Amino acid sequence: MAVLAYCITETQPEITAPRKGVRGTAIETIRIQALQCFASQFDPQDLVGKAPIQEAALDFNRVLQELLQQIAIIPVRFPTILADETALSRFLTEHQAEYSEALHRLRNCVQMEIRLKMQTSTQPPATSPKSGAEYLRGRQAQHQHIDSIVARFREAAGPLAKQWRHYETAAGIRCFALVDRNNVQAFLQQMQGVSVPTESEPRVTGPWPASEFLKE
Amino acid sequence: MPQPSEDLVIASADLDQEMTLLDILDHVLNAGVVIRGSLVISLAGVDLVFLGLDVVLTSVETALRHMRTPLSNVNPSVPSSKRSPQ
Repeated sequence: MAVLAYCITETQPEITAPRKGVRGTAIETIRIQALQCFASQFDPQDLVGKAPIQEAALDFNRVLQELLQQIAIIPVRFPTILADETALSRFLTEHQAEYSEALHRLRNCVQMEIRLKMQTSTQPPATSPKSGAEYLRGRQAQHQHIDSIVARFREAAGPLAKQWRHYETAAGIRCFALVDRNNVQAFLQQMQGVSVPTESEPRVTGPWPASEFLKE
Repeated sequence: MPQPSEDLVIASADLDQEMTLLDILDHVLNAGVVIRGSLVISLAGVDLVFLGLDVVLTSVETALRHMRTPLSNVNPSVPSSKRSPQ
């Protein structure tokens, strides 16, 4: 039968798997050496044929969050359904070394996210520049503005952020901090003190699985 | 102790502040590994406006991000776009 994969963790006998998965399915573990993957036997038709798919996505997130509270996880993108457990085992075997290294490195860590809305290079300027030089000056000023705001958050995070990444999107800037799970509260308190322009609508969320830090 | 910023929204389970559905959907749809050879259910036509819009937005965002990444740096197990069904 097809399986819906949730996430990959290190093999830890003391982990308590959530009682129910997406659409009330039972959750199983598939172990390959030092890794285990949490998954449910799943009929793909159940995803689209029953309750709204948002409910399934929320169930999926609940499973991830319950596991994340106990251990570092590598989430599998929703909805990923494989033909059977053999296909999932094959994938785990192929990536065993890569994911074992990542989970060992990210042990006790979670990801916090800061999202800022602002004009970026992926958006057209509000007014057309009169010359190429004016355009370049505008872009330079824009980047300096963005960098200064990102720097405020990064400075506030200080050593609480073990690693930091940010990139531009069509909607603005997304910043990611790798934080020790014991420091989440301290990190949030530091973020509360950051002064930012109102129009950037800053939003801090987390803790999330450290998806942005799977690669060093 | 820093003074709270009035403009900053913090949504964290650790502060008993609910994350929005959009926060959650963005992460479960847009973050994490994609397994090669997996069957990804098409979301077209399902729950129409909200989820459909989010899927498009996050996919475009991811695609744009990886367009700026040299191919040699792309992790083959974390592709920018969803896999085609088998």
